[in-house]
Amino acid sequence: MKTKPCLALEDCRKIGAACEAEARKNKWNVVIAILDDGGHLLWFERMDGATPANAEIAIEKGRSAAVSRRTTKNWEDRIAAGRNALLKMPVLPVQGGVPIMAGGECVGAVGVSGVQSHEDEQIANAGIAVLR
Amino acid sequence: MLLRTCTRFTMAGAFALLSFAALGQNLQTMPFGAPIGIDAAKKMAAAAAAEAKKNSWPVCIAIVDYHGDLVYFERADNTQLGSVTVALDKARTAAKFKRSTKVFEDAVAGGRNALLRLGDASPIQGGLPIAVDGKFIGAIGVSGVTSQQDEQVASAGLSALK
Repeated sequence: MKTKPCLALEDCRKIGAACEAEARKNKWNVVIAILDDGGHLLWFERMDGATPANAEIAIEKGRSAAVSRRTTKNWEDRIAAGRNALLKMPVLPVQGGVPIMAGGECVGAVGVSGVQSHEDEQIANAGIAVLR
Repeated sequence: MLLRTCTRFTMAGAFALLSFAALGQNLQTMPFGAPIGIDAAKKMAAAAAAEAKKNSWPVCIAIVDYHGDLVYFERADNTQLGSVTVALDKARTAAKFKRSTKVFEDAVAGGRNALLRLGDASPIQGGLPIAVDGKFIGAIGVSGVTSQQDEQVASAGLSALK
């Protein structure tokens, strides 16, 4: 039977701490959500100053990246290029959600919301980098 | 009815934080404080997670501000997936109604089935309101094991803010 790696809570804590460090370094108040490969929440943090809207958006970006195995920027770019039909897909196509790959498999995703979308993605990537 | 419930929890230690209850106030008249921030939420979650780990209970721990909006969440390894939303629902219920979700569970068990139609309130034990210095600031919800055990974990979280 096929086996695949799986995120443990300890991995999530490390990823979350690295995301938070990147955000603090830049004085950004954001929400960080980490989800498993089925899009189910594993770890979540709303820094002081981030909004309730950020909370929902971060989870939705992360869920989108997890279940589609793509960055949400990939979705956003394809729509920006004119493929508006993708707006009907069940994902949030806004940059800031990044899948977590391990051993060639998607094991989950990080979603960030609170600053500009490319900055949100920068934070997500900083978190995922601790696994490498 | 509500006052009696709160007092009983205080005696049980579950509401040790809420010493106001023993003084004759109840949660519904308690003023709102500043919504719980990330530092306090993490401190509570660490204490709750330690209680769960001590008992080898896989649980989800959700901490929300008094609006019911999520501030911190963690899911222990091997926790059933259904508990993600249940923990959130319990926390949101305790926040929005300024009371323990056990109050709703007891009321339903006592025959007040009408409460089952009360908006999105979860009538399942395991959600507790958070108060500090007589101010209501948020709620914690736990799910993963039995409801009593869930509440025990939530309670351990509350005690971290003493």
